[in-house]
Amino acid sequence: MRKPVFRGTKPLALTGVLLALSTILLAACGGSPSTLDPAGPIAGRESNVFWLLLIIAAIIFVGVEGMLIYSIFRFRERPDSPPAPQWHGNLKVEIIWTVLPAILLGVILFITIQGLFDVAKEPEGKTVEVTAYGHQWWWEFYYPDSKITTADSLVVPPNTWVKVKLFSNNVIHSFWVPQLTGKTDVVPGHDNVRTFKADKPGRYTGICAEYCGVQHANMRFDVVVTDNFDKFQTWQREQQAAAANPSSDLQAKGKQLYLDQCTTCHGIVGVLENYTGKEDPTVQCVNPEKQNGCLIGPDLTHFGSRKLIAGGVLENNVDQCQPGGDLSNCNLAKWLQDPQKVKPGNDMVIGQLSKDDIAALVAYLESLK
Amino acid sequence: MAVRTVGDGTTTVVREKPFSETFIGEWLTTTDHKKIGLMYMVTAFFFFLVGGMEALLIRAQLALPNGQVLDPETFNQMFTMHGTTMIFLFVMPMMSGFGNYVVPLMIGARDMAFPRMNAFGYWVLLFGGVFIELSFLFHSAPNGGWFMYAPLSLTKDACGVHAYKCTPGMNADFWILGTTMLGISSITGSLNFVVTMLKMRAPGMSINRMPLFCWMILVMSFLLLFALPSLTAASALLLLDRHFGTHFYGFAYGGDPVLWQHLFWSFGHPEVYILILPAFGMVSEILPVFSRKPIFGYTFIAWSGVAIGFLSFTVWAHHMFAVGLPPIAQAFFASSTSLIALPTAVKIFNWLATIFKGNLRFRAPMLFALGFVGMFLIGGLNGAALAVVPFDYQVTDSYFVVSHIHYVLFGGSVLAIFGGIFYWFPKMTGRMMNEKLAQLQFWVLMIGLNLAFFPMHLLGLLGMPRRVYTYPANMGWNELNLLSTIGAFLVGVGVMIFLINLVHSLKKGEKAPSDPWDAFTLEWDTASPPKKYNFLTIPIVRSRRPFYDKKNPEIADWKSVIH
Amino acid sequence: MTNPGQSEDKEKETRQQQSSEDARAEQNPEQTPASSASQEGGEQQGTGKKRVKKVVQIREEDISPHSSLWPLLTTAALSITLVGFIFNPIVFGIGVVLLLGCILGWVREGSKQRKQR
Repeated sequence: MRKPVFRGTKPLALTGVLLALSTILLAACGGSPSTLDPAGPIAGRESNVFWLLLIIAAIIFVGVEGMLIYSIFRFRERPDSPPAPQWHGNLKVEIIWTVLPAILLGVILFITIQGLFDVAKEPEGKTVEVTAYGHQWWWEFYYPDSKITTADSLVVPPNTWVKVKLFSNNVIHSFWVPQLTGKTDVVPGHDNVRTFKADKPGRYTGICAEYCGVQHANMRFDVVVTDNFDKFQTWQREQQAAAANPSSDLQAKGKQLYLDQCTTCHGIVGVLENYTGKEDPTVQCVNPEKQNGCLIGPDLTHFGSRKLIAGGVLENNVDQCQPGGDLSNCNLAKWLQDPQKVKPGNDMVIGQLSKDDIAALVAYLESLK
Repeated sequence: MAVRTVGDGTTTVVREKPFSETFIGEWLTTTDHKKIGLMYMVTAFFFFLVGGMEALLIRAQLALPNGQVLDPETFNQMFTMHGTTMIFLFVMPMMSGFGNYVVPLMIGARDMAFPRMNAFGYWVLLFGGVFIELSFLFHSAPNGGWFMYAPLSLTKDACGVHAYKCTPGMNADFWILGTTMLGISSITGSLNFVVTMLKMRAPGMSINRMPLFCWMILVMSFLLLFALPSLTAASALLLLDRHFGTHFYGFAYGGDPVLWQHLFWSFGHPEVYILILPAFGMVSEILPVFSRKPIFGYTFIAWSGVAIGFLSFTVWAHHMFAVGLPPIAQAFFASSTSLIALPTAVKIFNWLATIFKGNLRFRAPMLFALGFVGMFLIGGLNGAALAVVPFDYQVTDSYFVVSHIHYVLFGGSVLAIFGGIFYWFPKMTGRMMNEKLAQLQFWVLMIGLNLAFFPMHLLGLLGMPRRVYTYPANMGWNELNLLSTIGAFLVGVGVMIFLINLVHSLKKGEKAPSDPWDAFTLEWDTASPPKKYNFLTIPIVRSRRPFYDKKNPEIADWKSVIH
Repeated sequence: MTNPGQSEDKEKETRQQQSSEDARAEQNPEQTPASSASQEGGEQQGTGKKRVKKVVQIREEDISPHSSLWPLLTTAALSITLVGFIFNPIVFGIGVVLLLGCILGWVREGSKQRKQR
């Protein structure tokens, strides 16, 4: 019989396997919203479970694959091989290799159940409540205590439990911030809750993790953890205020453009008549017969203070959007120029705006801090 | 025209050939399980190529960030059809095809219990498959993912006033119709398998002596019979919601989207065991022959298959850990999922014991069977990890799951299918396949599949969700995606090598003897290819390896062991 | 690697074709175990007993699968029915009628086959 494997494959294969497994360590490096780079206790717990599983899996893998590879080399048929023993089975051996894995699985099950009840615990102490409302295809965040609504960025204080109510009146989405918590689906008609805490200030990428239609890939958000609780309260107060008045002609022109063209879908508190921005979407937006108070697009009252825009896919790079300057790198301008190019299929279908109009709108919206 | 001599040889009758004796007619009207098996296999392989093209398009789009190969709507149709095609139109019919061809031969029967219903099952599959692929012509291929979650799959009006992009078009209807037809095909096939195996085994072949491949097809058939009704019910309710104004899944009027998930996964989980059990069976036939030993622990392998069958109905909500079920329910499903890992582990140990101290012959079928064991282990390990609920919260709906499903489906079912093809090709066609090309294909596939699917573990851990048509350049996912795409194209090369081997061997392959591998079971005790009636005289069986007994009467199994 | 008795079987078939068309098929009631099947071929299977065995006359048509057009026709009717169910009620009606016809044909063919046996 032809020998299909050459001498020296064994060490090669072993190296290959170790290399492959070690790449997993890369997952702990920065750059990505990595589940193995936790910044809060929930994600930390979930990540510890992973490392334990990896060790167990690696041992089993090396053991079983090792046995396989050993047999392949050792028991190759050679011209002088004696006839193989015609074993049909062995009850003792069968019992051993049923009972031992059962014990191991039992241990893992214990860890599983303990872990799942742990991460489901109700938070104690100071809690911030937020409603995360999954639209197609952007995230709205409503704070019921301070009655403010914002989009794309979920601002929270550090070292405080955040209780996120998950609301949808359309399709199923999923709320996932890999560095802070595992995901929970946002199911229309259900009142799911996801609780997490961030240990330190920073920005953490959030992702929609349930296929929700054509732009599911472009439905991100970020969790902005302020430096301390006071800064968070300051932010809340700023968000509660009505929109800033325009302070230049260009901005005034932008405000007029907004009133002429954008009010069907977007609200600005203090500018759009009868719009308060204080309504609880879980009340306003759930009745299929009533549409009032429930806008299609994000609230823009404090647009200028947001770090992410366009359903979480574009950075709000204010420094590239200075009035009078070159707006070719300004993301907001790019968005206004052609929203369908950035996010084909989304609901913002607008006619072509002139460059001057875009400049005015950019100036006005970025001034709404 | 046929000429027949009648009576004492002095009269000659000349008549027109009936339709059923023309080349086309023979295939259109056949009820011969071997021909039907071949038709299933050829059709399934064609759909494998279709699904494979869809996979390559997906990977081409995801090779680089902000890819421009496919627009988002087309991409969403691609990944939906890739899953639907591969599961319903490739693996299931291919396993059916093998079962159809091999099972009657293995049990010493002349045909299946219901030959015409057997043919019916095949034709329904063909029509259903063509129908669902036709949807591309209308640019309305199903686009809701292969498991079509509600409310996304509902029509615009049924899924809520503020939902603008549910499924207004016919996409979901094609899916419902197609899968219903495929369900009918599978149900008729399963009934046939069950009755055939329970009633038509050769004399002396107690169920305790039936080959393991037949056992696995039997369990698979029971699973299909009990699981498909869930899918039929779920689809029927979806159809009613979409076209007849009901609100089973529509939350706004009192329905519940999670109902779809429960119904679907009550089918969907047994379904994945339907896809893998025949593969277990094939490997359990190939390993002993190429180790020159009987299978180790026949009883344990057979009963663990049955155990998996029963347990598969108790685990479905492990696909729904992130949906918000109460923790106590999740604990139940975590427990049942852990339990089902046990029979699978037992099988792997028994296969290892089979090759231990054997005389291993590394011909093509053996390579693929060993590859199966190696790759399925990885799929089993990352699957067991997914059962650990707190970890699952992080990686469900991410590329980690995509890695798991492809290790068990490609590294598992597909490798076993190739093993089965190489093993039984000589029997089915009377020719040998080219061994060198087969070995080359094996290594290309092994490298390709690991390159394609291993990086996906990391992508999931790094936060990449499933079913995204593109990703931004600053997430740190770029290199891994590119690696995965290269692996996928390498897999494509492997499949090309196989096609070359297939075409060449059909035309110019070495003539195959009736027993090229010195095998143990009854199908090898026939000509290659077998006569229309399989066996002129039905054999009498005295052990689990009747053909081995016949060839080695001195050391026959029935002399040394009582089974 | 054995070629179990197939060449002998071919001989037997040729012999059968020359015999009368009305020969009924009978299975030899005394089967020997598979391990000695290669020796047979219409000869006496001696066990030491004095017994005249019948020559096995098996018609190929009796043990081969029978062709039938009904599975294909029924599938076409079923497809028409299902497509009509979703897209057009008239087509659905036509499909149902065709389907019933096919089922009737199928069943009739089955009872005809049973009578022949």
